[in-house]
Amino acid sequence: MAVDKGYMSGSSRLLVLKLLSEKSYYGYELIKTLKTRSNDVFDMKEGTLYPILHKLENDELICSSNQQVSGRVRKVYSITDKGIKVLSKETEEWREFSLAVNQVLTFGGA
Amino acid sequence: MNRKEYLRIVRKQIHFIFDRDSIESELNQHLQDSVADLMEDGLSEEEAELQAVAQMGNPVEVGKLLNQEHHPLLGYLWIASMVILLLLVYPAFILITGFGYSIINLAIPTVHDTVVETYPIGIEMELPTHSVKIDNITLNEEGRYYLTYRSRTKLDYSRAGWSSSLFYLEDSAGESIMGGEYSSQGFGVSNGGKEFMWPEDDLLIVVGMDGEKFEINLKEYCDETRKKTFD
Repeated sequence: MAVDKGYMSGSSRLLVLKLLSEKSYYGYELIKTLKTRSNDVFDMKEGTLYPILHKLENDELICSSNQQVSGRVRKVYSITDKGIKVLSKETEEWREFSLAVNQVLTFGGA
Repeated sequence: MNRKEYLRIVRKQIHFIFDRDSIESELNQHLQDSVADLMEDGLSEEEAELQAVAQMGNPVEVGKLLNQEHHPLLGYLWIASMVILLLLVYPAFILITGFGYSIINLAIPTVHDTVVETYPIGIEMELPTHSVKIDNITLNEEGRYYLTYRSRTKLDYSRAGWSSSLFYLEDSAGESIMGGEYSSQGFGVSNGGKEFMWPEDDLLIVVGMDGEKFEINLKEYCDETRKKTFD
């Protein structure tokens, strides 16, 4: 199912943080995981992941280093302590928000 | 559009030229992975490259967004501050460490030519006979890691007193990961480096010397590296 771009841009940052809180990823691996884990809903233009990653890095929510993975040097991202705090706060906000949207949408039956 | 053309257009949008190479290299890594996967699905190399580039989206759009995160003013200020710091610190360094130390530094092979990443470790160890400082771990373009260290003997200065066999590297399962090594000695001081293989899918290595062992977890140094780059 294709979803409006506006929904995706707001939540992709949160989803990237979530995945990086589970393990370290390099960009390509991250985008493939995002796609599979979201049942192909998050099928974004792959290049647009990198501005999101570099923004998160500038905000010090994640950090990167070049490492050798499967025989090649790759830029690998990990979440920072600050990132973990922001993730838990924004996850909470997201839950509250989606609950509110659902409540309005289901009121009186859709 | 082919891979080269896509990368060229993204590069052009980045005004801070010193970040262009690292951005290109990261996107190129992605495209190479993507092409390899698509070829596995049965596409020819040429088709796979076109498809991989198409999946990336508009290079001008991505380049402009990346440019916002690589601001030229901050970047140039950072370089200027590093140059000033170096000018101030280097003469002091020469004065403090003395002439002998600087000769030894010159004797180290230049393994730093193609360094793509430096992890500033800065661990100091006090052993019965030596004090040892592990300066950093570097990764070069060919994917080789080097650990560089300095040691001073606590006994008497006429003895070189450092046996590099006291010093070894293992992965977390206790397997040796050592490769080649180099060192230079004199005046009771020893400078050296060890090449090693980083264990796959693990951020941990174990350094052992003189009966003591400690772990280095790269993840801990990730934050430090970052601070040094963007403060």
